[in-house]
Amino acid sequence: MDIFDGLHYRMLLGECIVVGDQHLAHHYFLDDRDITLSFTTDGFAPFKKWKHTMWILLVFNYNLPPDEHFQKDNILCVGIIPGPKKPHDADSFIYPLMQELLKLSTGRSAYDALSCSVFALLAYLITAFGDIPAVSMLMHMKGHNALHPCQMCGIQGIRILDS
Amino acid sequence: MLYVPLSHCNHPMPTDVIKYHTERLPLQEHNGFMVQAKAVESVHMEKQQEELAKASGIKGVPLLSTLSSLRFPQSFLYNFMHLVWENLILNLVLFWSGCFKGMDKGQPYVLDPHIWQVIGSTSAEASKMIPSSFGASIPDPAKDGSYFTSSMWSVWSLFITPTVLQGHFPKERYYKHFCSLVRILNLCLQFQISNEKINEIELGICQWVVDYKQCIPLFHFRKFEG
Repeated sequence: MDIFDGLHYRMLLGECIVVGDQHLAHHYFLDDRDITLSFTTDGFAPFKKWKHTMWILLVFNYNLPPDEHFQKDNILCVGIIPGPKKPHDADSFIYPLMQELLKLSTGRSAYDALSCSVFALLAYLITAFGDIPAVSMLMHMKGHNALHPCQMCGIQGIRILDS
Repeated sequence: MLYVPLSHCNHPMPTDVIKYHTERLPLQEHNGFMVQAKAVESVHMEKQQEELAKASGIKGVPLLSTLSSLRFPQSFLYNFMHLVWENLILNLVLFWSGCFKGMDKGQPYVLDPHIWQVIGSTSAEASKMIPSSFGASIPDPAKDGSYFTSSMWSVWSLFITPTVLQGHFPKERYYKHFCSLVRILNLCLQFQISNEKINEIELGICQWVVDYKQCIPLFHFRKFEG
């Protein structure tokens, strides 16, 4: 089992790419050279005993073999949000990445050394992951302390009085 | 503080009788998510926006939704490292050592402080006998729990706890319940997982949650506000 056996990837196969209101002519992952990407972000404290955090933006390439996805040499660092606090508007920091991802989903010309030809290189971001605060931030959700704490379903919490 | 029970009917003053089945949770769909997100942004009064956001948990339209290759919420996943090692296991340790938000006084799952200390020191000793290729050597969880990294929690939970916890809980069911979690975590960490095993993991987690809610019954309900 791999990300390529997952329901989400399977559902994308055969679907058209949509950019804004435009339905593009090509389908997801028609070409073997199409690239599957994943995105993550997390806050980290760069210095010991210092609570301020920086936020790192990382992209992973799922076309590499599973045991190489997450190795340091293969991780694409696409940005660092300097901090010292959690970004108030994370979307403003990932905006340049979004622009590039939209360009990549319409195709950029690249050279295939095997067939000695130029082709349209396509790449798609299909998952994003992180800890609960990071995922909530990306999804614009209220997070795990909210009345509806789950990102996947509508379960509702009830209040406990502090002892 | 909020708590999510599977059934709201044991609440001292239930407002709605809400019941959840672990295998049939009310899953969110992409279109529904986007409708709610747009609804929040369509109102201009801040107070109304806040009320809508509270009702759905969604604060607005995410920039990532411009990519048609992402589905909300199905494309957004929590890390195993954070979800299991740094939340679930850490919270269980807080339960057992009686340190969970000052709410565990006299609870049947709390270990005697002396026993917890011995479990801690035995764990640190035992980890010296585990080859380093299995993971980092661990300090004493009873003393230096805050120094634990995810990989240390992993080594401790998978290799050490099934032995050092045995026979020490006031009730055996807490030990058995934890061992069933270790079994599921081992399944999750295999390099290859078949469809059959995915089903086994899913059912195992559902059952673990049902048992969990039964293991810790009165604790939460006693303190519910009306």
